[in-house]
Amino acid sequence: MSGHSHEAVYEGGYTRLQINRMGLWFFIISEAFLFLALHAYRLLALGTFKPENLNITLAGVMTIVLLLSSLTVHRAEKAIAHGDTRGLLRYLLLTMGLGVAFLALMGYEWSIAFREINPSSPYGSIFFLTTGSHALHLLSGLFILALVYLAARRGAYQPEDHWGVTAGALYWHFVDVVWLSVFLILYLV
Amino acid sequence: MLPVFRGLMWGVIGFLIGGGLTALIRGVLGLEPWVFGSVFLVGYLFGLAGWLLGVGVWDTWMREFLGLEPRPYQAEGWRRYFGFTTDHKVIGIQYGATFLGMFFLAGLLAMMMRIELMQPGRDIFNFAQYNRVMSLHGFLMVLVAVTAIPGMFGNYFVPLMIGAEDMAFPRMNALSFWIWPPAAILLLLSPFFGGWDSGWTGYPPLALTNDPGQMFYNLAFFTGGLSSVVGSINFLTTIITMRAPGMTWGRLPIFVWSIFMTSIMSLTATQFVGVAMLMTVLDRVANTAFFDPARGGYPLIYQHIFWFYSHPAVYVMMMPAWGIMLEVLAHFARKPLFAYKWAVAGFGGVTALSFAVWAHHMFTSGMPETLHVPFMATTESISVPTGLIFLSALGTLWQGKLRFKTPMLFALGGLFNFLIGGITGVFNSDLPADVHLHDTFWVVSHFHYTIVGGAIFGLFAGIYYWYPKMVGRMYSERLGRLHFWLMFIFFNLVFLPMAWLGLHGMNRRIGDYPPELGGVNAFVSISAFILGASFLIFLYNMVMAWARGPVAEANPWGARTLEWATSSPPPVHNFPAVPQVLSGPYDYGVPEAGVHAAVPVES
Amino acid sequence: MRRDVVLVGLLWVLATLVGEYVVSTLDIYPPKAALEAEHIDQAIRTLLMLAVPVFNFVVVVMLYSIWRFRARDEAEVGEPIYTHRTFTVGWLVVTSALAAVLFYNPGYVGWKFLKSNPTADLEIQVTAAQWHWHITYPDYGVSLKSRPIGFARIEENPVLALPAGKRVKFEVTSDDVIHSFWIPALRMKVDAVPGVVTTMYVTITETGSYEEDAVFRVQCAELCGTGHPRMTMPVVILEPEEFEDWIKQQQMQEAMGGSMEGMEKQGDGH
Ligand code: HEA
Ligand code: HEA
Ligand code: CUA
Ligand SMILES: [Cu+2]
Repeated sequence: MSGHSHEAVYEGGYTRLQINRMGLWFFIISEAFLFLALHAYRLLALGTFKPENLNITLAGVMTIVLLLSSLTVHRAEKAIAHGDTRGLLRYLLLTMGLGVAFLALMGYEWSIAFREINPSSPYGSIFFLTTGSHALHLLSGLFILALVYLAARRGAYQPEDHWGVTAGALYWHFVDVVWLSVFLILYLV
Repeated sequence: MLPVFRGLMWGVIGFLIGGGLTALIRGVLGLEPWVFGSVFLVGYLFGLAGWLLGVGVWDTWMREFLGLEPRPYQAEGWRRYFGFTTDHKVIGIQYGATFLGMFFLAGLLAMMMRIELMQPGRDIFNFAQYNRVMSLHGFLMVLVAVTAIPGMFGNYFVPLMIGAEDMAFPRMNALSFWIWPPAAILLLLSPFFGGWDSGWTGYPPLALTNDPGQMFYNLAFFTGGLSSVVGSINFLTTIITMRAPGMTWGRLPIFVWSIFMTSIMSLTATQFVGVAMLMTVLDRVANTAFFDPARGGYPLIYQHIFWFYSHPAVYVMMMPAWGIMLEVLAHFARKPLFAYKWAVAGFGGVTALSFAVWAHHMFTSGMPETLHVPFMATTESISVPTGLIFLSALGTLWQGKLRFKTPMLFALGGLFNFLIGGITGVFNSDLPADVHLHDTFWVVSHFHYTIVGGAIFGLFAGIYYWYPKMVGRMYSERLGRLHFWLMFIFFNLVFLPMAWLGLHGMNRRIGDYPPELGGVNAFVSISAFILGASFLIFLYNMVMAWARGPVAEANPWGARTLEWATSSPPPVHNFPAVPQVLSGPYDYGVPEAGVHAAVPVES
Repeated sequence: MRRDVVLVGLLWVLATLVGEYVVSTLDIYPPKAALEAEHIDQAIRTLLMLAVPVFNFVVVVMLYSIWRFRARDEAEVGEPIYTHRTFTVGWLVVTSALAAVLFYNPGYVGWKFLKSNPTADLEIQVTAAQWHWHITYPDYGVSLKSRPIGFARIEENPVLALPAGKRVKFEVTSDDVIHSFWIPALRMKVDAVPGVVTTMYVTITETGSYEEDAVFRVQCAELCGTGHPRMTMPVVILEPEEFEDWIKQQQMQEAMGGSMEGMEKQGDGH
């Protein structure tokens, strides 16, 4: 957040970076409640009911893909912290690639699920809404990473100032953790 | 071009693109292309995005992200108010104007309802119209109550009171305001598309089978929730990080505390109502089966999810009003706020408990029997932290030197009204009593006593208290008092008889009632008209003061807190330099305390 | 200071005595006709009696302060009292105790009473639909259907008859949206939820009828659309013998057939 002209701005002894980070954390907490609400529906309405033909193996593979992407985005952040812009770019690409792979698997999963799980049943509805919301978050994560990538190409990030990368990575980790909860609540419980 | 106009244009374009695309896709898939539901839904989402981009998100964020030079909106004078400006004071006034407008509109709808209810039978509306007017009144008012104080005073005064130059995220602050107009436009347009008839609670299955106007409500609620979330992120971060040196947590003005706690609730619980709205819309347009019993869905789960937000929401309405009342009480009694820490603990307790009481709205809903008693227990225990607010208020009055200026009158009146509202709430929370009282005018009485009597009185206390600071001019004290007395007396004459009506079998949300209840209803209606008229005095007073009231001093009340330590209205960056906070905000009559804060004249 | 405390205390005691007297004699309750109704009214009365001291305490302190502690000139400041340990702790203890008492009685005890006895002499099935009540007495093969004609023509609706002195079980459900089955004279309501059967037990005690007071009616208490205010029908509570007669009459009408249906067609428009 730039755009502040006034010089003497006092920020309570916090650096701009810390303030931004805190804002992002609050955003993440809020988003977590979105998924909490979805899970609440699933558990309140359906208990632990689930259809037999859920493809748990596929979801497991997706989980692994996403976990890997968390790792790569972490590496991306570490790279720029050491001033390695090329490493940053490489790991960002890798992360986005894994993200796209996840989405492709998700699409495959959906195409099967549309036939096997009736979307006009409570479980089908919550299944598609939850995974869809997650996919949407992942998509916006991809969008953010793409912006970060473009900015990195312009050389916008330095070792001591790479808030954009940190924010993108933090959000990506969050989307990842959300998937774990989705996996747990929709597939395993 | 003013950003509002560009926003409108882009919004309409977005709407057309989104709607058109949906129709196209539907056509390609071989479905009926022009159906209201999905075309409108997607059109709206695109329109919302278009509006936001047009009004300022493109110029600021997107350009920056794309590596272009951002073009923040910089305007002078009245033009500031019609664009994506980042000054928290401008945003506060934008919120204030928008939501006072909505308040008066919704109040006029209430007047129409009271005309209909003045005598039994059908008068000016048919029942369908009555339901729609009632729904719009309730929902507009809920939005006003949830948003007006944090939006207007939170934005304007939190940074001032903590000695900050602006909010932590000024652009996000602008965003949180500019998310609102699409919701407001939806609601203003809704009557022309038939409106909706499911009340402000929008329970399915009714909300699934009624007219398509229902979606105006769902989407507006969803949009408003979005703004709430964005705003609360900003408040929390600002209050944590932007306090001036010396502004410890123990020296935070109580109003700031109230906004802090409120933000915790809107940050989290709001997502639930968003989900409830989303699921309802999907049930309507996408054949999902969340709440539709015809497809095996669960209508009661809607109520759980809805109230998980909407109960905390009532404290989102009330808590900032308590903050204002305590603030005003301490300054006008010239005394330290009594039991400050307990008052803060009260806010905290209410916040924590507010998440655990929602099912008290469902005592007769047929939910599992095991839930009733626990929810009665949590609901009744919320009286204890609420009682701490009263403890603080009474202790502050005791041995004070009270000054009965208009803000003080509103604060005292609001406390009195809320006391009745809270006590009637305890009746509702009592299981046996609620079996009878649920969905009657007793409940209508309860929530007008809390919302109007408490939150709206608090809002007006705030308006009268801070008006000279925000506008730089002073209103007529005489008219202020006249407004107070009319509003206070007739408020009670409107809403106390409603409790009696409820007890005698008048149910809610009806355009007709048993003829026996006609007399009391006529009395209520006439009182309501006078109550409504009292706002004309308010409007007159404010407009006259704005046009040619005497210029206000920096500190007309002699209050200690920081917003009074700068000019009226404050300059763009609030203080010439960073203030140094030296003692508590309410240390009146404490010889060793000195001033609350030292504000350097020039840095 | 001491004087103020004593005065406020006295005023509070006085106001509370008066208040308790008023509240315990105040008759704000419409006619009732069930054991449950007595308990519910009693719950409301108990709550009022518990509310009186709380309300009075706050109001007395406020009014007293307004009268006694006004500033005489602009410069005056109040006593710098930050807090008062005994008062604060006392307040916390008393309000917590009060909340606990409230919870136990009338809350918990009252609820236990309402839910304690799942037996009934008579079973009545209620099905709500936009915007009718469909009521059947399965033991007698009698069924009634109300029409959405509102209060102006309520006497044209069939009457729901209940026997005094009997315990009745209502089984309530809905065909479309959520409604709520409420008879104000019995003080009892339960929602009619599609796909769910909710139950309500009531011990009827007294006779009464809609002509006597409008609380003797069935009223839909959950917003269900346009016809919501009109989803109402009269209730009559009869002595058991009269009730038997009424049932016989209904059975005869039903046997004659058709007459009910014909009436429905007429008044169904809205
Ligand atoms: C500003 C908004 C606001 C506030 C603050 C409250 C506060 C409370 N509300 Fe209210 N309520 C609403 C707004 C609000 N409510 C609305 C809008 C509805 C209707 C929604 C709808 O259906 O449309 C509603 C409905 C509602 C219901 C459901 C009724 C029904 O539909 O059947 C219940 C039931 O428990 C309830 C209870 C309470 C309680 C216990 C409090 C407590 O917080 C009150 C606590 C305060 C006090 C008790 C007074 C002060 C305390 C003391 C002096 C201490 C000592 C006192 C004791 C120990 C008792 N409320
Ligand atoms: C902030 C919340 C708020 C406020 C302030 C009010 C204010 C009022 N309300 Fe409202 N009300 C609700 C929230 C609120 N209400 C809610 C949530 C519902 C439930 C809806 C539901 O069931 O779903 C409800 C329902 C409700 C009902 C029940 C309807 C029913 O169940 O059938 C009634 C009935 O009398 C009523 C009356 C009033 C009245 C007389 C006022 C008065 O206080 C209004 C005072 C008048 C004005 C404010 C107008 C003043 C303006 C002018 C005189 C002119 C100036 C105008 C311009 C310049 C444009 N309200
Ligand atoms: Cu049926 Cu209201
Ligand atoms: Cu509540």
